[in-house]
Amino acid sequence: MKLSSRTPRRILPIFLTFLILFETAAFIATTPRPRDRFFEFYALGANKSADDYYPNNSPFIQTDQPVTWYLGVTNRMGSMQFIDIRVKLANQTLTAPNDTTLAPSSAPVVAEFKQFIQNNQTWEIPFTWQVLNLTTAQGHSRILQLQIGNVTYSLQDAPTCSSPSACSFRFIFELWTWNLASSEFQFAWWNGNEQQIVWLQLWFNLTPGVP
Amino acid sequence: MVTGASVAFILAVLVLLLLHPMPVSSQSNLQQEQMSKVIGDVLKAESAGAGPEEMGKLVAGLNSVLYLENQFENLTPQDSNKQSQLLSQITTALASIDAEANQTEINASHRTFTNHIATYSLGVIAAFIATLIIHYALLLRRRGRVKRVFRMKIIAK
Repeated sequence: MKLSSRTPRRILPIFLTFLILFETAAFIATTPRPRDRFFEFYALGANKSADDYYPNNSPFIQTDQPVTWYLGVTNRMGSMQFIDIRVKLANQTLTAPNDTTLAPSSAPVVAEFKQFIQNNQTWEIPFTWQVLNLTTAQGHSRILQLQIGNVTYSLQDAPTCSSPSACSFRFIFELWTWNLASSEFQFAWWNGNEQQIVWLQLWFNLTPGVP
Repeated sequence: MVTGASVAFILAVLVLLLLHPMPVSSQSNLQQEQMSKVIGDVLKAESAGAGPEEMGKLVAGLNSVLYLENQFENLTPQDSNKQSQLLSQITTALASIDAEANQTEINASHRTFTNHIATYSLGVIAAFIATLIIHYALLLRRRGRVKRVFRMKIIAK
């Protein structure tokens, strides 16, 4: 088949139309789409399921009784993240993190776990703890020593309860992320135009004897 | 002459800095800065298009530095030898990760650029092929029509 002299003039608009179509498709394919940036943060029981959080299924824990939980973080931020899980020990009166003001809990930090996590990767850590030393003085109970993993923590400013059976303690797990601009950990991260936080808490009661 | 004097001065300052024992806290601050820089470089490599495998290596390196830092924090002030040994290990590891991150960034940005060029070139080729197909389809249709006209018979009614 021969191309006539009028052919280029005829096929040029067709070519340009296809070119615009295919180049638009190429642009869409090569441009990353904005996605929701978030973390999945969870706590599982001793069997790595959402039950069996306490020995004998009772939140009344004896001193020296080990309890195992599994904490997990999945990074859905779209990039590598440097995270810090801050473990805080609180009672009923100390404030929990505030989802509106994005303020962290006022409870003292007991331990920290830091890790770099790749995008779409999960980091899971066993959190085995036991109260080693509980004191009751002037009607107030206070946890003096706590073991998490193989490390023993002596607590200076631990929260108190009027009596172990009357009030519950709780572990608050806050997820802090590294802010590259300020070179420090921050509690809230930006997802588009809004800031978000994520935290967990698990309650327990302490009993000196058999529950 | 002036250049020689300034080089000698810089060298003297460097020698003094190397000989002078630096307090551990200021070394930690330096390491904090170095760590921050390395994190920034790793993130740059990722945004340049580093793949999961490349990022996995860098992240594993950074986590090994965290492990060393954890060991360092658990040392007592009496273990000064072990402290300085760990500090030098951390510094070396950070420098190695930084160099790897920079190399990964260069490779990844080159790869991303090549991929973009290939994708846009494919667009041009696809447009060209689609135009030819349409053009010849139209030609064949027209030729068929002409043939049909020539085959027509005149029947007297």
